[in-house]
Amino acid sequence: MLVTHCGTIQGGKGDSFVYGILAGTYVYFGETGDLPPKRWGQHISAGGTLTTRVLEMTPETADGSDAMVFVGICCAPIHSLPESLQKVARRQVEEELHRRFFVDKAAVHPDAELVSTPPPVSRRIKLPFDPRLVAIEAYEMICGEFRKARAQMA
Amino acid sequence: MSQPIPLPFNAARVCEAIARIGYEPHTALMDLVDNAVTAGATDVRISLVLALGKNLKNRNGVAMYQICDNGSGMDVAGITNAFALGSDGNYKQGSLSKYGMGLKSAGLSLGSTISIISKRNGQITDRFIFDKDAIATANAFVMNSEPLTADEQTRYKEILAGASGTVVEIRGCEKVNHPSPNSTLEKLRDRLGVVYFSFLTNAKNTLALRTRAVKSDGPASEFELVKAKDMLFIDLPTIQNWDPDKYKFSEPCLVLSEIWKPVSRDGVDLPSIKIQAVAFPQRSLAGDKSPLSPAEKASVKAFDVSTNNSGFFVYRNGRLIRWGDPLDGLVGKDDINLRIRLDLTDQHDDVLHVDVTKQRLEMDDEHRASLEGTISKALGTAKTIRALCQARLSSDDDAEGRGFTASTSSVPEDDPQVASTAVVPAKTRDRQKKSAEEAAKVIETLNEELESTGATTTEAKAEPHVFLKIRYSEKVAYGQFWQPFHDAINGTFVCVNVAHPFYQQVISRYEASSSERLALEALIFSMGNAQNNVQHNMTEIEQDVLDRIFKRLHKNIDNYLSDWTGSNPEA
Repeated sequence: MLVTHCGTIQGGKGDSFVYGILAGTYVYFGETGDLPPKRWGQHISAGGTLTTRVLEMTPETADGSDAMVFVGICCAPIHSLPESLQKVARRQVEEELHRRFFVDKAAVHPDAELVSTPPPVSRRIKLPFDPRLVAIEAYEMICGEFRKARAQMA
Repeated sequence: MSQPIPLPFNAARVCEAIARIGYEPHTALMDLVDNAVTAGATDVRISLVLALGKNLKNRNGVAMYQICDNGSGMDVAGITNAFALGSDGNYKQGSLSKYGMGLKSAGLSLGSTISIISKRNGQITDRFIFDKDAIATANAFVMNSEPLTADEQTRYKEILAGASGTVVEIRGCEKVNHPSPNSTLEKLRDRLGVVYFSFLTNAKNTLALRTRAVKSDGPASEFELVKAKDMLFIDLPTIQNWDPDKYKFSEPCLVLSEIWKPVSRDGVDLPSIKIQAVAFPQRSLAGDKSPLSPAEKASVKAFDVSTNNSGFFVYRNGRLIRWGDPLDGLVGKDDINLRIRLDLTDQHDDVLHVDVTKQRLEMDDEHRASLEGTISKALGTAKTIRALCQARLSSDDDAEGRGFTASTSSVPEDDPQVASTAVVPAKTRDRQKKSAEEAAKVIETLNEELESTGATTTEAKAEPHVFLKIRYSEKVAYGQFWQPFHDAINGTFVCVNVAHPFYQQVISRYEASSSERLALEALIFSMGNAQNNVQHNMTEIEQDVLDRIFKRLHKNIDNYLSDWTGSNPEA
């Protein structure tokens, strides 16, 4: 094969996404109410959150020499919420996504290291769906894509 | 090639050392109970035999501790192995034993001699004695044996009435400084039911644990049966899942249930660890000033919420090894209403560094960080519950909006740009009329909403003749935090969107007539009244232009407040 498929992103502006980024053994989770590539570009630009965190942890691997994997997950249950609740809902799912990593980081890789920080969320806000269940599904998908990509890169 | 050179050791000092690895009498006795449970016992009896002339309240009042069980029993070889230092365990997976030191270290922390009489296959052994003084004399690890007298034969046959079992007796207790027997018995009563909860409630092989104090020269007293107790009350039928709208102040709340998969350093798969967390209502809700009913107060009291009873309850192979442990600050002193259960197995001993007494564990930074991330949700919810309880305690049980309505009775709603004596222009009157028609429909909708939510809502408690100036509703226009309306007689009233995160997270935490709530309501109302005045009085601007301006204004407010709320969950 001369070329390989390196991913497709679909969705519209205003849709709700969570995402995972794998850079070597470093893992970053986030959320966005816009198309994920826009946020990803910010993360990996000079001074971006991902670049900065990786640089803090291991300066020698922050030069982009490690291959990176970006996985975006569209969260349909959030779309049907009033706009005022969508950001809160994305954050709740993002926080649960981080918790998935804490309880089962081996699903990514036993040596994986988290470089993102779970967002603070309020326990007083009730959503019409369980963000934990959304995050469980999202985490499985993200880890599956990470594994697939690592296998292809190997 | 190097030659091994045997090193001398002082057997008596080793005995001293292993006796001082941090036992209290009740924890030492429970370590001896562990041996009985490991031997498959279904009945374990602990007796504290009082020294002559001593009573339950005297320090060092115990002459002998006796632990009898109906486990598999031991023959001479088994007893020899049990007394060996670091006995050859070959423990089955799931055993409560670990290093084969418990009998000696726990026993010698209670007294100076440990004796065993055991029965296996119907045969009762002699008495075998592990005596610290005899070991010091011999400067070697030795045990002595002595045959049972005829009287003793009869007595031990009665005690070991089944096919097998073991009696462990600790004497020489007066040589060790101990709290009163009463203190030890109380701790046993309080803790045995929690420590062995899984065994006491195991349907297949139910364990019965009994305790008593006996006078040396008096008649035998009855044993007291230990009752199983789950400190997390997980099986309580009334336990609730966290729902801020339906929280019951008298019941515990399951705030976390996760399966943690720790990663071992050598890549060996480890069993998952079940983590459950329960947040309890604050203890003060059981007090005199609590608005709860007597039955609800009794329910809260039964949970015994206290600093000692908060934190991690760590179980290893079903046996509690840590009671209310903050685990190196993972649970803070403010988290008094939170209990977290961790279910470990012996396969986690190395990765979580479980110590010789099986009473302590230490985590490396990586596992600590994982656990911290996992329980953060439980900590946050427990904190929210404490705040709700606090608000409930100071609750005036008033209807939302009523306090503010009362505060507005003498406050005019006039537009300062319009002279109060001026005649109201026709265009303004038209706009007011149109607004009032919309408001009438809204009031109808709000009344329907009230009826559908039942008469128990706080808003429904408002006297019907009171015209509420601030109303809390889900029926406000989409994308707005509040919306002002104009009633033909009562003037401005404002609906606040209860589905908005700013209401749920911030406003709702303040009691209906608290000064914080009134201040927030005054701000919201003033903006609503201003909007009405502008809409009605700025007749030089077309209505649809004003509508678009205010729509955009509200969108901006809504967006900012949503983002601010999301970014400040503690606010």
